[in-house]
Amino acid sequence: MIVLKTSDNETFTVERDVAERSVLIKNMLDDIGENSEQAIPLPNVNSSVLKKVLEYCEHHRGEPLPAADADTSQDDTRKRTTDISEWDQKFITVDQEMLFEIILAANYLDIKSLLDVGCKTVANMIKGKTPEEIRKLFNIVNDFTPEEEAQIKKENEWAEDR
Amino acid sequence: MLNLIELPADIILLIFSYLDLPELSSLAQLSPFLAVLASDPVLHKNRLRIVVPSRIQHSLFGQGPQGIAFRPTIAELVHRGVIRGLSIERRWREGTYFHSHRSIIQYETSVKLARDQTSRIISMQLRQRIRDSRNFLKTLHQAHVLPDEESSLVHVSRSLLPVMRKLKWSIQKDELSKRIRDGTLCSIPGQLSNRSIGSLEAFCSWLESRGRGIVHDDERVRLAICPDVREKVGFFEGLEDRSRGRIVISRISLIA
Repeated sequence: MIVLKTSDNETFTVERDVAERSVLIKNMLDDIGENSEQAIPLPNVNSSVLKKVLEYCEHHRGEPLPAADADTSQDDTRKRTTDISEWDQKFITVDQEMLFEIILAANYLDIKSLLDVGCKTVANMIKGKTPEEIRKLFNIVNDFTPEEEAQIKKENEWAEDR
Repeated sequence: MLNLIELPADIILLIFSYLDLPELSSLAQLSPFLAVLASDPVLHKNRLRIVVPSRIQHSLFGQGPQGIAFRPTIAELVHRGVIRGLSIERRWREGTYFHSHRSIIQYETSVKLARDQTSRIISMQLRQRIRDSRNFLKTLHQAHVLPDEESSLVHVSRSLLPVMRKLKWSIQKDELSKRIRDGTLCSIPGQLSNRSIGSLEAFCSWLESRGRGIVHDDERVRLAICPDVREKVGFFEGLEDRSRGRIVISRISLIA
């Protein structure tokens, strides 16, 4: 069993194969050796997010991890669609704040499949929306100068009527 | 609150890699930071090298989570009649079918030719059947399929039929009016009389009672039956000035 300690000082005890979905934790465990009872500190992850992430790892335990380096092209081609499996879809149906937190945690913990699910979800949220709708959706402040904005509009005229 | 543009740039780029050009263009209009990322050269190189081919592969041959193909195969399209062509299934199986503008024109022409050929065969068959049995139209007439004798004659053109019917009608009309003038209208059932005026009277009363259903009380029919009634009416109207009493008498005598 592995003990994980979150940024808000909560501890989670999980089985090794669940925790090893995270490449970061896996490498850490490899480094510190087998029988260490020490809690692994995760200063970038809070407890509510880690709970969610561990739920994902629990469900996907035992699935083959993507190879460390040899992922790039072949792996990308296989996964470069925005389809998300049914369970993952249900899992990732959270509010925007939590979604971004999960993406950040997955990035930090190096859980590639979870990162993909999160990014695909954000991409699906953006798809088919107008700039104004996206601005509203993500609450993005317009910090263009008027000249910049005119320039950008001009450059992107080709995409206006699609 | 955590915002999209507060995410690390490489994560934003990963998200962008799942998007298409129109969406990237929309995002570029939102903030200078996103505009820079949306035009990232590595992102676009990846799009061209990896994303686009796999996206095409996916949209053409992709399968849903249940293993059901997103798009129908060519064979299915052929079976549903969406893709059509000259013996398309055999040629597609042989791998020799090419969907081109020319093949579409060729197919449409072949369909038109097939239809022409069919109609030619049908009309030939029909014509032969008429020629074979001379009494073909007559049997149709006897079976009450054709309404009258003229339409069952082979040597009468179909376009003449309305004129012929009109002619027959006026012949019958003349005959009827002649019979009334002659006073030979005693053949009306149940109204036998020796005198001609008596027979006319009988006809008139018959017309009022049972004839109503057959002959409508219509000026045209009246004139057809008694073509000279207008003269008589004019004559009696001329008399009207002289004496009221006489008119009454003469009207009675007209009926009589």
